[in-house]
Amino acid sequence: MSCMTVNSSPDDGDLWTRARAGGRDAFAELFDRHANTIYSYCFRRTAEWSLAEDLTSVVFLEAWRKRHAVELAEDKVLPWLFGIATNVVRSHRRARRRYEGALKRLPPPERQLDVAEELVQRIDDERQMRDILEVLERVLPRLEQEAFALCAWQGLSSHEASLALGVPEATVRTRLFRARARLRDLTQSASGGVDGVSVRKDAHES
Amino acid sequence: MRVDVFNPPDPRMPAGHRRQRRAHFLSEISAVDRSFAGPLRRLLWGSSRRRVGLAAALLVLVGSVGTAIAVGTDLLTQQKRVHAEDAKSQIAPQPEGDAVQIDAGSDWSLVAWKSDEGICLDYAVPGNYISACGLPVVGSPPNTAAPDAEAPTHVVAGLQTVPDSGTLVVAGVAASTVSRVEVELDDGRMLEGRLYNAPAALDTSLRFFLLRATIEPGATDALEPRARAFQAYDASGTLLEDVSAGFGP
Repeated sequence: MSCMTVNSSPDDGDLWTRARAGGRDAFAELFDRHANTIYSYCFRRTAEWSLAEDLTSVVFLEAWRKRHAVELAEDKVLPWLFGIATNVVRSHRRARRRYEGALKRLPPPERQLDVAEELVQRIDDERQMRDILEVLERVLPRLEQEAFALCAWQGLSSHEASLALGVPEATVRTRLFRARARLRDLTQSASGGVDGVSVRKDAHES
Repeated sequence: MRVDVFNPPDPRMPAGHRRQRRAHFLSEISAVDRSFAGPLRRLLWGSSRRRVGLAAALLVLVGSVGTAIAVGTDLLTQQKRVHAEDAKSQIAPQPEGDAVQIDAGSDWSLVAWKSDEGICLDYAVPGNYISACGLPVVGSPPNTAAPDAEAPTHVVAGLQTVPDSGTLVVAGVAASTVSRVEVELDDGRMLEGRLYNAPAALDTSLRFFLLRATIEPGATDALEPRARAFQAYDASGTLLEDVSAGFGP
């Protein structure tokens, strides 16, 4: 039915095929679809909104640069973008330096309404995220942090996370299992921990 | 204070910022394509992605390899460690084969290596280096990271840097047909670079050149280009290519 074809949005695989052939519009569409998700991930891994914005730009620039060298697994773009984002976050100083020129060409942001309110929210988000990362840094090895962030925070399946991290799915499951176990242990040993989900930060500072 | 590690904040990028980033992204990827179309800048500087400045204190070694590399460490070994670190990242050219030393002095080394972006050249000093990959010269190994890029048509390409205030270094790659490379400096001097055949380990007919010139200390910013042009000649003295404009960071 032609009307169904006309009305349906292209999936990521189609967009990716067009982007690889040089279609900037297709890549722009991928940006529209996934920029916020990648930004959220970068923010949750760095606890700095401005850095997360820069890293989001770097991730997409890097994706564009690598577009010819990559065969998407199962036509899934997002796991691949998460994979790039994970590498970029790991070495964000180098990544930003690599794209320093490009980032310097970034024009000043558009004027925003409700700036003060937004700023307060951002500061609060950063504070919360710093506290969370502090706990994670203390409790989890880096590889477990990455598996945990992708699966527990970003909602990737272990299979999708395995595509992102380039490791077998069983490895992701193991890392995730260990991460959850460590966090559960932490919660149980902490006074005031709530049903295996929250931990009291101040309980571990003594 | 409670820290809920399972429910972190999930901020959206402000709409205005996202629009700005999107426009910037589209502008940048257009620029990338233009750089492929306009070879002069690349001709002198090589891949802009790997263009870094010694004077900008790119202390990659300190940042990612740690302090294990001390001054006095063999510079080829230093660069191999850098490449090994790069190999772990998607955001750097992936080495293909061993790096080899083209020439070296007491405190510098010219190192060549193959990567997924083609031939790469490092000029290294203890604890620091400048590097360029994908130098677009006829006979270069293929750039598998951009297989649809046009085949190079140039016979000379390179990089330049000012590793200390009194020295200019111009180094690059030349096609096998090139027998002499001359570099015109911004002070009017025309100097000949030393030409090297590729070591067998690189398995290429490309040649390499290096010019280390004394310049007036502190005359310009270290990142400012001092070489204004390249001229490449064949064995009979015929000018093969003259790159005299359009370069610079």
